Amino acid sequence: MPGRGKYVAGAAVAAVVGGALFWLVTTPQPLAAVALPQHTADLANGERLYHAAGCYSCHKPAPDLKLDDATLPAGGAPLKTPVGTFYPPNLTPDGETGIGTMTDIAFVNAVQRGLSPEGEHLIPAFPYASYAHMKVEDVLDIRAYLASLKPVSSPEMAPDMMLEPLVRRGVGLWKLMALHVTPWQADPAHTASWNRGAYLVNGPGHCAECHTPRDVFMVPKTAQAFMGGAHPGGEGKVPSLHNLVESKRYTDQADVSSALAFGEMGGYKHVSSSGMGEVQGNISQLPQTDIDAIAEYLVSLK
Amino acid sequence: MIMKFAGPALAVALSIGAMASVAMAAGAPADLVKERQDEMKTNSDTMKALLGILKGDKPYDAATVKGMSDGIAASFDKMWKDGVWDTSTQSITTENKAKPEIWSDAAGFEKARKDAMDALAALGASTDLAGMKAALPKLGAACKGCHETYRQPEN
Repeated sequence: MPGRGKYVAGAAVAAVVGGALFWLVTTPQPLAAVALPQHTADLANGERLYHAAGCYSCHKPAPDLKLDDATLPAGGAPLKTPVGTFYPPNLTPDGETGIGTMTDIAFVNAVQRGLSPEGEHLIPAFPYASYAHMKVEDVLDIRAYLASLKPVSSPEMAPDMMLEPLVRRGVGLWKLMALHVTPWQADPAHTASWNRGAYLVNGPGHCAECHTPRDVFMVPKTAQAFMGGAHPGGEGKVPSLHNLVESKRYTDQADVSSALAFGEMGGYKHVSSSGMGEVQGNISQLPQTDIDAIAEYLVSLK
Repeated sequence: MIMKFAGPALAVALSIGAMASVAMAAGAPADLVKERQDEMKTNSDTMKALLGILKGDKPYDAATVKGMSDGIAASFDKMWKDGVWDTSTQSITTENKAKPEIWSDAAGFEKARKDAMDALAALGASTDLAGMKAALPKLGAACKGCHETYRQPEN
């Protein structure tokens, strides 16, 4: 009997220590407001990056909102993922239900560190691990662009997921492996347009979220970057972006550029099923120079 | 002994014959899948040619554009007439990207067909490059809208 008590006590201590350790390593690490650069917002750049980042595709209005302007990112449309169904929040500047009262630092912490204004971890269905590579000025420009939109009321809805508080806190562990808050580094061996493409693809474009395979912890396997992954909807696969020309999927860089710009309108069937059509629609709204830059970077992936 | 089996054998033979004739009416599933893929491949090539005109790689000509949009519309009519979306085609599991929503949401699928036909009619009715530039994106949106919902991702 005394022996058993010892085990119970030992297990209790282990649980407390383990729990404390879990709590410690999963502690959110927000950026302090003082770390934000002085920046004058560029609305046109914000709009461009808003499309590059594909914000609308997840934050589109719920069908029952029946907005006059359905292009507003009012949020609420269901986003089904393997861990549950989310209702991405309202990005319009509505004071009550949108991000009207959100501070710049809270916005940057959400987009680049995956933290809610209350300091909780956000579930990485929100691709902040990619957005973490963005220039903070670009994030602030998106913030300014969103603030310029028409505010609409669209109340936030809780996600349908199992064990939410535990999973949310556990995201802290995932972040230790998968979140690297580092601005994208230009590679001087390549052209300026290649580097622009690399930035758009790896940062705002968050292409790796679907096109790079993940390990059992849902951490992207960076050694296999853009070699194709599981479809985020839970069924099917997302194709590799390597050897787009060599595999004869596209004739050349201009063909890739044309596919991104025109999609189905030009008979490009590879860029339109199960989500990629949305992505192509967003990319098509970028200036031609950005689309060409993305194509230049993509065809260089071998 | 032989007679004893003749009845059931005849019934089996007849039912196989009946099944075959039903299948004949709509075509064999594998053939239907091949037909719709071939038709769609041709339509996708036509779309590429239309984009070439829109981008100025090829000279604009209203009759050519109308011929192309009519060609796609005729292809759609042929596919539906031949029943390429017959439920039996779900039995083809390789190289078949059709999603079950085609049959579970038949009304939505029919609307997608109608959207495409309307967009094709509008493109065929356009008389200058500006009109084509307004009409082609709507056709692209119709293609995309259907493929996003009713076709599996590429691999």
